[in-house]
Amino acid sequence: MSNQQQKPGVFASICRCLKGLFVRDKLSFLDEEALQTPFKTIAKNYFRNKLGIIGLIVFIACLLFSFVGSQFAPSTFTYFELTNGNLRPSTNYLNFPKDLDGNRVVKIVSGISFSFALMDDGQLVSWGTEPNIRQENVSDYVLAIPEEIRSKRIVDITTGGRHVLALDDEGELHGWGYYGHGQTTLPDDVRREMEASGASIDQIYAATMWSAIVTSDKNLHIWGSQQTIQNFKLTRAMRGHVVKVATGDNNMLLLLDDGSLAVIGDRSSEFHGNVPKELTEGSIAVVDIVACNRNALVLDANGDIYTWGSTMDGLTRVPAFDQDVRTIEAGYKHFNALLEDGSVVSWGANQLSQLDTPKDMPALTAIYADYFQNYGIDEDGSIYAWGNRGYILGSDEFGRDMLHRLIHGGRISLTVGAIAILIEVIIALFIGLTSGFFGKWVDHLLMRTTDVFSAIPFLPIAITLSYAVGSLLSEAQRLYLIMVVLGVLTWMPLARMIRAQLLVEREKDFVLAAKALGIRQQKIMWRHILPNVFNLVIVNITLGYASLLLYEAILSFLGFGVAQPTPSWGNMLTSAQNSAVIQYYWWRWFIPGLFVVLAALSSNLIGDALREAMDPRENER
Amino acid sequence: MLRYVIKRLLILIPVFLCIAVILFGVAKMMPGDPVRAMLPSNLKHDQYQMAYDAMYRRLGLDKSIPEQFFAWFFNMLRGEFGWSSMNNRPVIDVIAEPMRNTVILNIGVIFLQLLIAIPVGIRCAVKRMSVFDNAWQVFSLIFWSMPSFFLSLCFLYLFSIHLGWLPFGGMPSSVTLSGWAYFFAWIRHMVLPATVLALISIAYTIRIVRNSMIDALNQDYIRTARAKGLKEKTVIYSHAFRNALIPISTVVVFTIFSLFSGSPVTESVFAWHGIGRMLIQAVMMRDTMLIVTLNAFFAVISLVAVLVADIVYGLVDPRVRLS
Repeated sequence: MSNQQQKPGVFASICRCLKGLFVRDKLSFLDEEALQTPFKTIAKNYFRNKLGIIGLIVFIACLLFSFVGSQFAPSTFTYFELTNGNLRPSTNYLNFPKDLDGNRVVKIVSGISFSFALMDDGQLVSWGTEPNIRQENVSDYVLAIPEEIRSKRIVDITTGGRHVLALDDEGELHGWGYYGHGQTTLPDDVRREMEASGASIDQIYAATMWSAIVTSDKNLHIWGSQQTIQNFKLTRAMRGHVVKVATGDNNMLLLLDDGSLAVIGDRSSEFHGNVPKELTEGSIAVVDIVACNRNALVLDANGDIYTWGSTMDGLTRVPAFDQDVRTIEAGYKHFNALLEDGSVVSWGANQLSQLDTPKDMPALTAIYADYFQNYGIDEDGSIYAWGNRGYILGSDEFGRDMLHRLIHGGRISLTVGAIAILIEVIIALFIGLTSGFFGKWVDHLLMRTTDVFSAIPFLPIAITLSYAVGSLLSEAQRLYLIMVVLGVLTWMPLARMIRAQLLVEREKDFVLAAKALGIRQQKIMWRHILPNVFNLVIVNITLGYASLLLYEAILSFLGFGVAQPTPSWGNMLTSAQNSAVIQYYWWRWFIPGLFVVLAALSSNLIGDALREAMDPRENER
Repeated sequence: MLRYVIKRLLILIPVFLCIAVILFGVAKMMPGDPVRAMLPSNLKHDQYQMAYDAMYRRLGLDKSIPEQFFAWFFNMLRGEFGWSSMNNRPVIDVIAEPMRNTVILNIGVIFLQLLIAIPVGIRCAVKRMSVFDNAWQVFSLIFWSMPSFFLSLCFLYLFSIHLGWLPFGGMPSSVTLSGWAYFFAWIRHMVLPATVLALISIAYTIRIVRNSMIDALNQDYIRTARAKGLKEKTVIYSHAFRNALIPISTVVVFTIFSLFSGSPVTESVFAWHGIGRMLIQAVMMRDTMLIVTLNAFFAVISLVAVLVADIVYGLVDPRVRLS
């Protein structure tokens, strides 16, 4: 009796079928389970796997970092600033101590990544990031003010890129920081000459590679990197007549005591060559001289500005001022003018945001600019800072921002991997399916071809090929070459797997069942056999992608992959073949390496989780 | 069995010929003039031209490409690999020492790999989803996704720079050291590269051993064996492991043959004067004959490995040799 009630009658079931054609009624729990698409099942299984979710999140994060990041990050990833090479990760270049009283500040000077303030009591305050590395035994750290100087009363201070010179009230010169060219200590011959003439140090100057002083008898002495200072030749007319100096790295602008100007240093530069005629004659009353690395600027008594030098970065295009200029300060590649009303006008290069003055800045009483940093002080004594804050992931040997290169490098690495895997899968599908379908001699021929390719040693041939062919190609073409080489040398295992899977699936019972039902051969292939093969392909795409990322990184690391200056995660590591880089500049190899590992690991996790999700039997594993 | 082996060998011959053609093509594509590389640069113009022509003929470059190929191919079969322009010595002499270094390095690696990975893989499969298994799974996933150079750099930074326990790459010198001191210097220089290579290959091997063991353990005959009341040890080692041997034996064979194939990356990072590093140097210096010989050597190794793997297949699985 009860049995009969459960069984619907023939009429009832026909009714339900007819109804089902027109009205879609709500499905019971069991029906819904049965109707779940394979895709849904896979997704459900996938998200049950914790490792799979982690992998997916990390991988998406890598994708967002590279592809979305490259939309926001400036595409100036090849922009280099040699002076800023090998700076460690930090963003505190402008973080002056909060209790620094602007009214007591006499002077602020900056190096590439640090700044010093000279206070009115002769003490020094330093902030920023240490640009130097600790060499064996001797410290060339610049931020730590040496003990013997703390007790001295400092009257003047100046900074080169990585070193500092300070003059105390007894006329003694102190130097510390990077001393690779001896630029931190006054040479003995200069000291002897000064003792002989009884002169004292009047002014101190420093550039990236050298230091200079002007003595009270108006003599200029320069010491430091021989390569640079051998160009600094003083003529008789200059000796004993130097009043003031403005320094670039390779040139110096001298103001002589007769009011005329002279330039010494690298003769091939525009700094040296393009000096306006009227200035060298001494007919103009010069008030101030300043210099960027490759540009000079002169302010005369009428408030007129003369400037010459490199035409790059718009340094020679002086903006029109509606007021008088109070002072002009020069950074490494920019000029700042403080106008009478206390506002600041800047021009020059802005790659390190040197020109981005704070918006709500009140009228300033003093400005300081050096290298890539700017400081302004207002009437209340509060300090404003703008310019290069630092590199969040450090800089490489050419002073390029590692973060920008990582973002764009990721874009390149991930794209190269993706296209290589596409090539690999297309070849593997073609070979695997053709050999599985046709069998017989086609199968034999294709499988022997596969054998040939598998016997080719991957890394040696990849290296040889990308070198042999790569030298004929341009940089962009080499990128395609890497994709092709990676794709063409890795398809063999996948092709074998596809063929084997095809053969296995063809013999399975459900194919026999389908045949028995009279389903067309073609439909059996497409609807019953190939979906099972494609599952395998999808899993192997993710797993293969991971290994292609690694191969690209390895090739580029060895110098046979993506060519500089285009970044890729692999070629950012190339310099790590140098032991000094491994030892001192950990951020240059650790961070790109970590990104490669993360991308490969997450791709592997996704592949593993997908395999488990697609084949429930694999859960047994 | 003999028929099976002969059949396999015959298949290898056309495969080897194809590879030789490819290698020859790559060598021909190498940039640079092979003749100029062999001549001293201090000759006068007309002398140079004469020497150039003589060398051109001696290298057989005046012949057609197929002729050149066969000349090269048969020379290679006879053991004449040509002249290494980088070292200015016959290739065969140049290769000997790096080969020895690579083999010494790899012996350690293979010992570690097989001794650790196979027992661990079996145990992981038996104690599936246990803490032991999960820990090793994570280990193998991490090291499987790790580029060898990154691992090498991390190890160098940690153990030779930061802690100062081990030397910073390179090879011990036989001039300054002798006897036991020399031996220990070898060991100390070998520890880091061997560990890096071993970790990565262990990670890979564990996955294979574990998966094939699990497949075997899921079979019906295992249930039967257990139902018969056999000891668990017998079930695992004589029923499951024997059946898992086919994929595992492939790995073991390839591992043993990898003894001779250097790893360009690891050897370069650790400045280990092995065959992989030699290849990179040869490519850098455009030493065509050395490159081709090394590549041919690697190809032969992998072909022989495939052959031996096939034979071992036949030995462990009667179905294979009968079909």
